[in-house]
Amino acid sequence: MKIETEVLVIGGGLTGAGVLRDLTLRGVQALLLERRDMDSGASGANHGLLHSGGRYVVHDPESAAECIGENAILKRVASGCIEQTGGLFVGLPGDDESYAADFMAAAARVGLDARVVPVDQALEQEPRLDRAITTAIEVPDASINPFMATMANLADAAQRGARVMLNTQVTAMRRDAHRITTVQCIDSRTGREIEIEAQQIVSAAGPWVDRIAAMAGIEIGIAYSKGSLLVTNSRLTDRVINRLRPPGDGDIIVPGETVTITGTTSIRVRNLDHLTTSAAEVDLLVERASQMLPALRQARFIRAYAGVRPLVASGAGSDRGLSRSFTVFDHEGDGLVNLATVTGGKLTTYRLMAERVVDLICRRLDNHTPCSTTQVPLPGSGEGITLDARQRLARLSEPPPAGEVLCECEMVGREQVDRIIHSLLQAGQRPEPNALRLRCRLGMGSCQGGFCGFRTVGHLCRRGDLSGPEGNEVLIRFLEKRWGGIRPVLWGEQLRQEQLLEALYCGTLNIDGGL
Amino acid sequence: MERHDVVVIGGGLTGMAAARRAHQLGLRVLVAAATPGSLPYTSGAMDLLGVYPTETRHYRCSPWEALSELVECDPEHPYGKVGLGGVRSAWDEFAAHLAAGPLGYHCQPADNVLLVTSAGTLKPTHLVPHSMKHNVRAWESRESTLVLGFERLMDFSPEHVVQTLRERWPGLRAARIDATALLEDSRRICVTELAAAFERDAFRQRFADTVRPMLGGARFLGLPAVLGFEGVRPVCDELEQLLGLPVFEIPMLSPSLPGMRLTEVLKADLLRQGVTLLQGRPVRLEREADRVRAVVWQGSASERRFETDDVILATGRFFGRGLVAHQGGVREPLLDLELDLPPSRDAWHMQSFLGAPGHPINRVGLTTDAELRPLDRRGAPVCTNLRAAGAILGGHDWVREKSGAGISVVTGYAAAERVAAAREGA
Repeated sequence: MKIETEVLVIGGGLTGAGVLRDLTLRGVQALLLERRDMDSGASGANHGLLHSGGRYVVHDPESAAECIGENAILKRVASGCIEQTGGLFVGLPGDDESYAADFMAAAARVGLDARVVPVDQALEQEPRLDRAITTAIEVPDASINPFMATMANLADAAQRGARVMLNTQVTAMRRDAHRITTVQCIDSRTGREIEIEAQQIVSAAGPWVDRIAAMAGIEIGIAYSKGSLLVTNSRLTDRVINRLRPPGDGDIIVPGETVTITGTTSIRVRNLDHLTTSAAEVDLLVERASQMLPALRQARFIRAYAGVRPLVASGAGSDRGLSRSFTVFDHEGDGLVNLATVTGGKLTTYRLMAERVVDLICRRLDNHTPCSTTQVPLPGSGEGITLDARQRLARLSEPPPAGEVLCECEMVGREQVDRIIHSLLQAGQRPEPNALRLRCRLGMGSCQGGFCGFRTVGHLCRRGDLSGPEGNEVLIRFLEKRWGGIRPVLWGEQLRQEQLLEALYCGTLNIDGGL
Repeated sequence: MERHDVVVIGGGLTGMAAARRAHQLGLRVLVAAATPGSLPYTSGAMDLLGVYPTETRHYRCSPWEALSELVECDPEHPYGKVGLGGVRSAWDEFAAHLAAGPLGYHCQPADNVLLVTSAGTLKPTHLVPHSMKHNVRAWESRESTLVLGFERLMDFSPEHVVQTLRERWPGLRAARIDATALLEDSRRICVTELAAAFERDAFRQRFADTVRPMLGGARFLGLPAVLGFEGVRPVCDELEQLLGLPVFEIPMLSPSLPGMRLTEVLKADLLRQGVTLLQGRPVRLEREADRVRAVVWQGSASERRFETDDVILATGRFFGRGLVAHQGGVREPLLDLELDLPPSRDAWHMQSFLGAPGHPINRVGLTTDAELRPLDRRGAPVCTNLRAAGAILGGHDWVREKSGAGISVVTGYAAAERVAAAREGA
């Protein structure tokens, strides 16, 4: 099969989705390829933090300034994906006291809205904070649902005529002296080969941009920094909590909907495809974060996950010292005039990254329409996930409507799942439980898919979306995929939960037996 | 102050089996349990040994043949500790008891059977309740069978069962009914509402009238395990009369009525025999030198202290809170024993959730002597008058072996018998 498009976007994370939408808003015809499902890389494995800029303000003012700008813009245009939690930077006894003064001075220089608040007030706002905190600074941090943001960007782009092909992997590129002439891909489910001819190509493949560039014969130096995060089964704070000291491990705690996300670590890795979190990393995160929030020592962690930050430039020294700003490569120095790469950066700056790379592409296309993503509101995903935690928690405490609940942890009902299945089928996607999870949080709660995965497969069989004996294969695949994130946090109550599920699946169902 | 010959700590299958055997042996026995145990979460079918060795996932038609190999090769396994003769006598006695009871358990003594589950998988087991007897027969015969589900009961999908098995069982069909029309109060469809409904005459009549035209020549009717509470047996019998074909239950993940029924029936047996059962509050041990002097039941208002000659620890594994895992290890909380474990938490579990041979942590448990007394790190009994039984013992992986009920019953009996024998010797 052969497809022609004006612009090809490679990568279905939030940046690629943002690029696709920006292109369509400027009237450019575009196609996006994603080798797995949306947000399979770093966009689906982060804190969900909309940075205020405070974290970078002292050591990386360029990143801080980008965050400050984007924080304000996204709160305006993408409010449906954001919960305006606010954030605190807290100092503890023994922390370098001069850092608070440096922080406030740097904030004033770059225009970060930071205010010192009395410790008593901070403790009243966040009663689970360690009573010994010595300093508290309020900043406009927020929490953002990256899955909703990506879905909303993709949906809005599709509305404007863009095409999205998931499960489609780029395998090779053909080029002449100055141009990539053909991009070869494969549909990973059917094995069908596809050839794409595009006037311009944007690589927004996150840490995989070096592999894409290599297909065009170009070398990009990317360092991969793994960051691990932990999820608790309940929401322990209302605000984002940061440690008031230079960036380090386990110093950010983000309330995300019904849970709390704690991270991160920063560990160089070479293999991008099998990220795991070790017990040592988990223990380090628990230890560090519980210094700010002692309740984390007794908290029930339901999951650990890891993402990879693509860091441009490299060499010796700490990865924490590298800029978290982003980079756009125009590749003209490499002799190519129709490829651009955007990488690095953060979830918070995805829109700006998209704007910059689309500016470059539009110059090449002689398209003079200015970027409008700072103004045009991002329509909600339409799946009715409210990001107001109070509303959401109120919903969770309601009795289930007539028993038609598939996921009790996250209160996902049959009707919502049916709507998502419908849209997946329309887009030619298979409605597997994992695809549903990304789109409605099914399986993200305490049982980590153990109960709702079973119900969902039963429901899919009933609808006729799964045929023959494949239901249990789909179920096992889902359970094994969730297992990767459950395994590192198995002690206490979560181990009890795991033992129950193992007893049910192996004992009651003998699903491991293959009889 | 009350004095007992033996206090059993733990009210699950192990604790109840130990108490039953102790009572049979003429001992004055008390059961004290902090939790309701794990039995209500099980399928209600009783496994003895379905897979051995677990590394190769070898399904064994004959549990006895598998057991004699296991006892030979694996003396540290709980079955190895008890020995083949002990396993056989305990299991036969308990099976006969369950067969005579209200749930009418049934077995082919020499063989395991395969039970169709709500995932359409086949579960090897040894004893099945009356309500699942035809489940086994339907699969064995592969005759025309209708699997019927209920609209809005999300925990049971007849299509899931049928699609999984249809290639091997062409005569299997799925259908659903809307039970809301048959219920007086149709607020929600859930397992307990349906079970209550099936215990009512009028509902059974309406149910049969609705289902009769759907049977279409089926020789068996399979339903989710919702056919009543402890009255399930007469419900099954009456449905069979009304519909004119054998009716069977299919075990569900959760909630599991067959597991709850078995729990209630065993509890009632003990109470009938005059055994005291205390449940739902923490228990602690009062120790003196190398003995347990008393078991203290920490009631909500006041503590009750029971002096005892012997103790049987049947508190289960992690789910029953007999073992507690913390970030750095696993503890037995009543004796305050730290257990031997793989050195790093990374090695507690395998990379695959469901893969063979099973997670290393599943084999972690109390190490005992031949008397079933837990040993400390030096290999000496922690207490001379305390024995352990059931899942808390190390050296087995019941979820992979399909040996959960067997280990509970057999070691529960064995612990009680060792208590009685030691008293006679003394």
